[in-house]
Amino acid sequence: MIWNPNHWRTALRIEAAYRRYRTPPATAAPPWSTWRRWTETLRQYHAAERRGWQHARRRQFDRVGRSFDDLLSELRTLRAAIERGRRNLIPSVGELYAELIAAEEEFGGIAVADDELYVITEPITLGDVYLGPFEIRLNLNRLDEQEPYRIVAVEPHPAASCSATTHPHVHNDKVCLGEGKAAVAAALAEGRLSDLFQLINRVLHTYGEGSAYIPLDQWYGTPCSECDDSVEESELYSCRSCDSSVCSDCVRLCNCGSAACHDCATHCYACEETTCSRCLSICPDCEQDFCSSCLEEGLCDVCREREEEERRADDEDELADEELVATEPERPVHAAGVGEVVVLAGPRRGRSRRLRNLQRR
Amino acid sequence: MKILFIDAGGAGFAAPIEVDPGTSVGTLFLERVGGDPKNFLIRVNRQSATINQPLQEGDRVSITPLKIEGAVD
Repeated sequence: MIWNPNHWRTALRIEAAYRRYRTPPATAAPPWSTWRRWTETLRQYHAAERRGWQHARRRQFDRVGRSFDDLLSELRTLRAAIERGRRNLIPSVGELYAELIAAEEEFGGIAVADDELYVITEPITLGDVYLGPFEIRLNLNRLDEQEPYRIVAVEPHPAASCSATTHPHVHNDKVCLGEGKAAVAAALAEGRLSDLFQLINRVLHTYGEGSAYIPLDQWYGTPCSECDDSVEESELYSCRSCDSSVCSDCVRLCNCGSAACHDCATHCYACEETTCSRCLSICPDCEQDFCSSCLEEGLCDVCREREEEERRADDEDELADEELVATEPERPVHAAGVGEVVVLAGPRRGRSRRLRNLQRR
Repeated sequence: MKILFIDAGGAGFAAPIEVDPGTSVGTLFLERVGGDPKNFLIRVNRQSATINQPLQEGDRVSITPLKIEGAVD
């Protein structure tokens, strides 16, 4: 191993940072009083046994068991405290130097800039998406924090829909470690810097589809649900009915601005323009859907024209009836028919239409 | 003999463990981790190691999975 004074200086600096942030563990005292209580209870138990005092022997036996459990519990607590203290040890300058050398060998170099120690990963490709190399930067002034590292894309190839997402698991230079979180935290706590860099590197080389900020199949944009073209998020429309994403070429827009996909789009029966269900009205005669421009007085053009035709025909019928009444000669009334109403024969078509129209109104 | 073992696939803490003299990296891997060694980065004393490499007293062995799935916060 070739001596590297720069790495040694960096190791000194990191050791000082750990020393600054690491509080010495509280001294855990052995459970002497519990030990004395247990030995005293045990002595009394043996005394009762020697003298044949059955009642005292049984009572002391229970006490021996209880104080033994207490002793075990306190010993376990002591062991946990010792373990915590071991993990809380400040890594030595020598260990940190060895870590820096190992990281340099694994990543082809390490550097310090702006209080950050960093390595550069090899160019990363996940699936068919080239993401480029990343810098894993460890802030030496924030070693007391939970996540004092950030991930910076060297040649950013961010997702089309979000420039801050440079990797499926990196957003705003923050990596979500998932399965690696505990191991990275342990490596940081123990000063195992090469492990820390390597663990983050392995996370960057792994793609978890269900846990990505932006899935790889949407990296170059969101696919239109109809033509399957990838489109930027800002150029997509969301169907009002089914929420599917539709591009500007495939979207059906109503005059009110609401968007619909092909399957959910509704149309005016007359002009066939895309009209959303809120803007459609039903013509009561033909019971078809129409946009507001194709309805007049609540009726579509066809039904309205038919109605006008019928009205005109009725008017003509009435006129003809009146003319007929005016020209009809008076007939003698038979004596037997006195008291009965005389009904003149005439066309019935107009009357039934008039009746229908009246009923409708 | 005692070695320092770091299983980066789990909680990731370094812990001293006892192994039989002559134990190879591969044997330790099968005992402690299992699976296909090709899916792991195995290092002894911070250097890449082969599975046939015999372990020595005081060695520092770290086993890191090559695939570690990230998440969304």
